[in-house]
Amino acid sequence: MLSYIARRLVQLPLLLILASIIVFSLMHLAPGDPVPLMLGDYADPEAQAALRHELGLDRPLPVQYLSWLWKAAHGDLGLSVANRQDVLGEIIARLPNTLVLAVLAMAWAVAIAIPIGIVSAVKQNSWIDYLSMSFALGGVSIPSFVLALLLVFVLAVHLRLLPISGGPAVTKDPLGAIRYLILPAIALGAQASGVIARMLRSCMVEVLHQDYILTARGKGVANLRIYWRHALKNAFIPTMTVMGINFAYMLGGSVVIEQIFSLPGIGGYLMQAVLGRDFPVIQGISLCVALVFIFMNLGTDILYSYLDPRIRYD
Amino acid sequence: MATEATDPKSAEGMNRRLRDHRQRTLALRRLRRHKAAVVGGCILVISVLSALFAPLLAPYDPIAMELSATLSPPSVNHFLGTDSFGRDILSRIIFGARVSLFIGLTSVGWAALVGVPLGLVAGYFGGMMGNFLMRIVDALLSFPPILLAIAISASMGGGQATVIFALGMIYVPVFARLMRGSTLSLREEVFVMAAESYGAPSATIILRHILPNLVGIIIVQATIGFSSAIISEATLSFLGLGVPPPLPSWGRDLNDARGYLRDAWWLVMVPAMTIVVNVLGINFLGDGLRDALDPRMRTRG
Repeated sequence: MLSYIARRLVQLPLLLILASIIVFSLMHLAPGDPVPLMLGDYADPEAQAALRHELGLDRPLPVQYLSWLWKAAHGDLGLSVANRQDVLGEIIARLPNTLVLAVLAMAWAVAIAIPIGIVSAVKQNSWIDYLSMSFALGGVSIPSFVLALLLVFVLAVHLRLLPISGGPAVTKDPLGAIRYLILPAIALGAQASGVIARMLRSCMVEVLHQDYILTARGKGVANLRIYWRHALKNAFIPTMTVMGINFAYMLGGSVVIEQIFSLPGIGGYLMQAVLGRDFPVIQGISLCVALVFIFMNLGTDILYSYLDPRIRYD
Repeated sequence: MATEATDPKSAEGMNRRLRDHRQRTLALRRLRRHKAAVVGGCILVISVLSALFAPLLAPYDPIAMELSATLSPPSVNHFLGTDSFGRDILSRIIFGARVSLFIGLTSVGWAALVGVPLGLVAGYFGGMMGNFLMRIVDALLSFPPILLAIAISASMGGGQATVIFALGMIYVPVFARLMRGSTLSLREEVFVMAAESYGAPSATIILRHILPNLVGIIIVQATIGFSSAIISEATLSFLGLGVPPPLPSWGRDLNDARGYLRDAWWLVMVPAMTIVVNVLGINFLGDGLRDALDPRMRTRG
């Protein structure tokens, strides 16, 4: 296990560098000069030259990359082209909103998925299994933005139960913000909930067919205790990896959800930047989300190797 | 040497073809018994047919505006109503199937064309090169997929080709990683070692002995990718990053509907249900294919 962790840590710098190269090359994916894209075709040539110089576009590519990376490593993600604000500052101000949204989404996803997964594994091939798995497949199949619109349509517009959009920042008014986050969290969590339920069910089914469960039954251990102590604990380990990945996906999914509900998170910020081709912001957000994603993956994998020492990695 | 093995006249070739045939029949039979997969397959066939024959099936031109009939609810003239420009929703859904299915298929197709060889080569040869390829794959997988697609298509500027490229970039690493893992384990199989021992060239081993064993998981992965590509395309279109207007797209029709949630339910419900039913159908089919093609997975279904 230690050697596995060591190998992962050794690979980490290379992974970070490659991910940063992907983020850096975003600005150069479109053919030609990115400056007119950002400022408009008829922008003042001096302003264009100034921006070109600020972004280092007047220098060779490798130099550009290295200086961009050097600045990013020191917390300088540049200034937004649209409003001249510090990109990192803006991201840090908005990140808590997105994280709270993702945590809420994950909390309800897990709260639904775990009972569903356990019950359908225990009652395999019964009507309740089919019902719960259809429900889970429905969750997997409904895109978050479609669910969001349907929820707004039914709960907010027609029944007027919950607010449709907006809301305060969680750091300013946590309790007030929660009300605005209920619908977005449900929409964002549905897909993960389906994935987790399916995963947990298939792991539980596999575990329940193993010999040590038979032994436990033979010893006369009560059913509930078998499911809880013997089966769930083992089935939960792979499920946890899926939860980690899905939490990171939610950071990506927040882009659409925050857009629909006009929430003040990094997803909405990214959309503003996308529409205005604000490359420093697009790059800054992609880089930050990739960092969160990489360290979350590393964390879940290390936890996994700790919880299940049998696991062998190639 | 290698050609002998597949020569249809030789006994070995006959056996092999018989075995392949039997496996295919078995897989088909298993698939047909899977009721959900049959339903899913029917849904997909209906969508494909309506995409292919859209001009014959659609009652109206999907982009023709009928300004005297804006926002009209479902009626005899317009089965699924009209939108705020008076365009027929049914026709837009039928033509929208072209965009969704075409982008879904081509993006997964190019991802497989790039990802499968990458994974095979990285898995079979390994070494520095294989490791480096896999680190690039890891790096691509360090972004939430939809975020990567949004960032790429926003950076390149919209258009159908951009969307296909951006969505494909999500699945290239998925295919590459899957293929590498499976190739690594197949490398240890006796039949591969046997082929190596009689000196078959690497290309022959990869193409004749390894790849045919991976067709099943490629199909399953492509099906999963297809359904998620349809979701992603709808998401990009919804955000205004998909195919440019006036091409009808399910995702953009939903975005257009956002302003009329209170007054015109059909504007939301029709595209929403179209997306959900199609994705659900493909997922049903994917589950069925997985059970049929990979019997080891059946208990886990």
